[in-house]
Order: sequence, then structure tokens, then C-alpha cells
Amino acid sequence: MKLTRSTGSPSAAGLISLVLIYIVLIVLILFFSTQVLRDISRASTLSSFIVVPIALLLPIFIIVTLIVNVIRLARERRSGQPGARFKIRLIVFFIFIAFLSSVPQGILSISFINTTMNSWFSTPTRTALQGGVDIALEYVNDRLANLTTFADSDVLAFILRDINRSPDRVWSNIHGADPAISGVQVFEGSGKELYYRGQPTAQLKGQIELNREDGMLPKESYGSTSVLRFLKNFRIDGRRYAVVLSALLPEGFDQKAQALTASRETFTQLDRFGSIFRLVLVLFFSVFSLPMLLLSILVSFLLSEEIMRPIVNLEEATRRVAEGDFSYRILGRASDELSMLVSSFNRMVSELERSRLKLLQTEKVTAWQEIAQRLAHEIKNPLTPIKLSAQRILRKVQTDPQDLPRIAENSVRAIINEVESLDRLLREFRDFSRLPAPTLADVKLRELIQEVAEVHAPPHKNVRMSFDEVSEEIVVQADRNQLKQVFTNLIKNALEAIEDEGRVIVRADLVRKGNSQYCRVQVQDTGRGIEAEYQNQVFNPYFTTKGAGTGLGLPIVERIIVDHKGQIWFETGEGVGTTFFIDLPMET
Amino acid sequence: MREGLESEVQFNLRVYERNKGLFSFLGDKLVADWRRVRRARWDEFSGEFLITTAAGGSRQMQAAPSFLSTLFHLKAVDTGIRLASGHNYYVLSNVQIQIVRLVPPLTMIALFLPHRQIDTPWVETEIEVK
Repeated sequence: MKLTRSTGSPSAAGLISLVLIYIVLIVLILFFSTQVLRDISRASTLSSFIVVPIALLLPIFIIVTLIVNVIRLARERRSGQPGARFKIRLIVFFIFIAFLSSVPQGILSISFINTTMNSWFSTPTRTALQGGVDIALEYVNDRLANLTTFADSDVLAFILRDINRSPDRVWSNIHGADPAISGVQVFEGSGKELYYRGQPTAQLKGQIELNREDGMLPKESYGSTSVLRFLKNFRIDGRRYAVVLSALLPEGFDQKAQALTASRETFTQLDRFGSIFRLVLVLFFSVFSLPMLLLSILVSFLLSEEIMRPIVNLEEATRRVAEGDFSYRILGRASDELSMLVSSFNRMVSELERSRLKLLQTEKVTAWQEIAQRLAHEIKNPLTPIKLSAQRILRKVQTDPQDLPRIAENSVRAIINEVESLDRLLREFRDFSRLPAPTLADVKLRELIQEVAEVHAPPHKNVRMSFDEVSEEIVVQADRNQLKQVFTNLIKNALEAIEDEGRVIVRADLVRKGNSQYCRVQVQDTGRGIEAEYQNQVFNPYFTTKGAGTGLGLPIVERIIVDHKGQIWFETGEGVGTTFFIDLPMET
Repeated sequence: MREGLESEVQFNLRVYERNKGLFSFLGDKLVADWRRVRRARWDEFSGEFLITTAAGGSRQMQAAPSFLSTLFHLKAVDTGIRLASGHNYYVLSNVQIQIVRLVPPLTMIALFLPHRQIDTPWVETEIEVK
């Protein structure tokens, strides 16, 4: 019994490959969004040597695989492979679904990008950001102006006169005159600190440069606190002093100002490169969407293959059964929804086979009954002359013994003839019934037919034989002797069917029936044809229209062809001739 | 910079060991890869140019010439690369300048606007290890 798998998983490897490609694509997208988007210049060596080539090769690989699949499908369709058209329809349907889902997704994404960018980077946001920076800048400038104004004022010079006598009063007077001042620091002409009053964080650490001119000192930051300072040189009681006034900026001011400027920087960049950024976003969306779309098309190929396989197997099985191969069965997975259909099909074929075998058995019994009747008839025919000859000899012995030798010789000769006829009859019957199983080997068809024709051609000089239409290339797998007997019988019959003159033509072609290839041989004669009333009996044993025939020639031919898993039939027309057709399988 | 945009300078040093053996066709061996990144911007709050490094250091300068010379000058630094004697080493060095350092996610534009970054040619210098 031959078994074919209907719903196995030969495409599992393909499915795993697609899943792997899908994962690689997701990893690439994640890598891109985390690494490349963060800073393209920081992309690691790994990305340059592995990720970028993969990102470039993967779509190429998918496209090539897709092209290969499309070509394969086109070939299947062209060669008329079962299920190809339906598979194409399924794939087109899947692609249609993929496009249906991706088009709105694409429109939505692009629209979302545009809307988000327009709302995030709108004019009010730009105004707000620039306004924030301006306010912060104005605040700092204001503090600086305050320090400068106070340092240059006569008030400070007046207050500082008490620096040696009452230092504490100096600080309380300065703080009282300008509460925004956080500390005052006095240095000697040598640069050494002489005095500090105010908040500890505002104090300038260490010495200052000698002979430094009046003016702002660099802004300093300590953690989240920043200090603005102004240096003013004074001469008090003939001695030179450098006075540093400090003003603390509010806690976290610098960080907030930096955040503002960074946001404004982003905004400025987006403002400047916004149009190209939108294009790049759309391009990247397409770059990552296209492989996904192609991948889904590849999946559609795989799915259609998976769906079609059991149907194609069922079609193949149905065809094989229709061709007479009742041993064909389909294996199905228990979990598969098609398994019920498959098991019903298998049951049906089993039932068909049982019925066929029963019918064959009945036919066989009937055929053997018929053969027995015919055989009895054929045996009985020679028995009558034997009996008559024997009775004649006996009568002569009793009535006229002198004339016995003459009568005896004729009668015994007749008896011997009939016995020989019986012997020939029984020998042919034995040959027919004990036809051995064919021993298959490569047989060159033209050579075999030529051999048969050479033996039978000479006595029929008025008949032209042609086997030019049998190619020398044709080689069939057959039992040479049995096949020789087939062509001997057919060619003999053809020659005998021609009364005066005519032609016997042998042709051979290769034909395809479903997935199987056959060698079709035609033996055609231009003889009298087979009368309509005998056409149904030509393959019956012991049926003959010829006086000297045994009626076993064509049954033997049929038997040999069937044993070779082939088929035989004929077409005939009275006065036109008969053509016998034989289909022999090319791969046995 | 006056518009609030930031620039970036990246110094790259790559130390290679020459492969003179049977497998020289495979290329030379990369021994060390050292890079230093500096970012520069105009700080409008202090009215000075500000240079920051990836390590967190910063310097402020009022004058443009001193700012530029500081930004592009790389002093003799300890790269931390230790080389063995008896080997044939050489250094490839170059500088990458981003006139406008793009902020994420605008960095992806750099893929399509390569002229926004200036790359000097790689300069090869032989090293003698004593």
C-alpha cells in the first residue's frame, strides 16, 4: 500500500526561517531606535560590521526569496501542476489583505508624524521657549547690573570707610543698602583675604590675582548654586583693597536655564531641518515597513502551500484511484481539520477496493466457468472423431477383418491428429494459465518491434509494414519475452486481417496522464476490421473468428499488458481496419 | 553658536600592530581605539564660549581666538594604551567636526546629510616602542 502525507510539516523549516527573519527585523528596528537615533556618530564598531550589513542584506535576501517563489509558482502554473491556480488566488488574496492593513497604517503613521511635529513644534512653543530664555537672561543681567551699579556707587565707598574699625557694621550696611547682595569679601593689596561677611556659599575661595581691574568675575557654580561676582578696587586710609561683591542666583537656576537653552536648541534644529526630518521619518518608516510587507507576502506563499498540500494530495489520490490504483492512501494528522475528509476518502477507497476485488473474484469465477465450458467444448470436438474412428475399427474387426489395415490406418491417423490437436489446446491453455510474473528490464522498443516484423514480414509480400514512427530513443521497462509475444500476436492478427493488400503501421509516443508518463504504442492495420457483434468478446479466452485460431492470443496480450500495469484497448471500423492501443508506464 | 546651536569635535586615535605574517591579507590588528569628544557652545548667560568634555569638564572663554585654539588643540595626553616592545605599531588619527551637533531624534538626518560632518583624512604615524 502506498501512503502519501497530506498534512505533514515539510514547510516547518521555512516557517522557522521566516520567524527568525522577523525577529532579526525587530532587533534591527530596536537597535535603530535606541542606538542610531540617539547618536549616529556613536554607532559602535559592532553596528558597522554586523548590524548595517544585516540591515542591507536582509531585504535583499527577502526579495530574492520572493522572486524565487514567484518563478516557481509561475512554472507550476505553466506546467499545469494541480493546485497552482488556486494557490495563486490564495497568495493574491493574502497580499491584498497585507496591503489593506498596511496602507491605513502607513497613512496613519505619516499623518501622526506630521500632526505631532506640527503641534509640538508650533509657534507658541517657540515663543514660550525663547521667552523663558529671555526672562532668565534678563534676570541675570539685572543682577549683574545691580552689582555693577552698587559697586560703582559712592554708597559702597562710604560704607567701606569703617572696614577697619567696625567690620560687622560694614556688612549690615551693605546688606541693608542692597538685600540682593549675598556676601562681601575684602582682599589686601597682596591678594590675601582680609574679611568676609555673608552667606558661606557666596565666598570666593583662595586669593585673587594682584592688580586685577574692576569688573565682573567669572560666574562660579557649586552644585546647584551659582554665584555672580563683581570686583572693585578701593584705596582706604592710604592702603589698597580689592572688594568682591557676590550675588547668589536662585537654587537650580543654572540647570533650569540650561534645560531651557537645550530645549530651544532642539527647537531651533527642528525648525531648521524640519522639512527634511519629515522626509527622513517617512523614508525610515518605508525602509522598515517594506521588509515587513515582503515578509508577510513570503508568509502568504508558505500558508498557501500549507493549505494547498492536503488538497493537492487528495486530488492526486483521487486521480490515482481513478486510474485504477486502489492501493493509494493519504496520511493525515489527527488534529487536522481535513483529517475527517482524508479518513472518509481512505475509507471510500478501501470500500471501492473491496468491491472491486469481489467483482474481480466474481468475474474470475464467471470467466473460469466460461473457460471450462469452452474448454469442454473444445475437448469434446476432437473426442467425437476419435470415438467414431475407434468405432469404425471395431466394426471392421467384427465384420470385415481383411479390410482392417486400410481402415485402421486412416482411423488411427485421424485419432492421432485429434490427439495432437487436443495436446496443442491443452499446452496453450497451460501457457495462458501459468503466465509467469514479468521480469522487468530496459527494452528498446523499436529494436523489439523490428525483430518481430522481420520474422512475420516475408509471407505477406502484398502488405507493407512500417514502424518508422517508433523512435529509437524509447526504452520501456518490461519483460522482453512477454512484450515480444504481445507484438507477435498483435502483428500476426494485423497481417491476418488484411486479405489482399494493405498496411500495418506501428507507432509509439510518450504521453502524460496526470503525473505519470506512459509509452503509447499503436498497432494499426487496414484490414477488414472487427464486426460490431464480436467487439466485446475479443479479449475473452477461446473466442476466435479464425478457423485455426485457439482464441487465446488477445487474452494473453491483455494479461501481459495488465501485468505490466499498462492498459490495452482498440478502435475498429468495418472495412477500415483496427488499431490496438497499448499504454505502458515509463517509470515502474 | 550664537543661535544656541552646539558644535562637536571628536579626536580619534587608533593604534594598530602590523601583521607581516602569513595572514597579512587579513589586515593589521587593532590594539587600541581612543577617542576624545569636545562640545562647544555660546553661553549667553555668561557671554562666553563654553567647551565641555564627555568626562564632565568644562572651560569658558570670552575671546573667540582663544576659544578656537583651545577647542582644536589636543595636548599630549595619557591615552592609557600600553604597548609592548619588539612589535611594529602605527597610529591612525583623524578629527571629526560636526558644525551643528544634531540632537536626537534629528541625528538620523546625518545619514542623509553627510556634508554636515567634516572628516579629516586618516593620518598614519609610525610608533617606536623603546
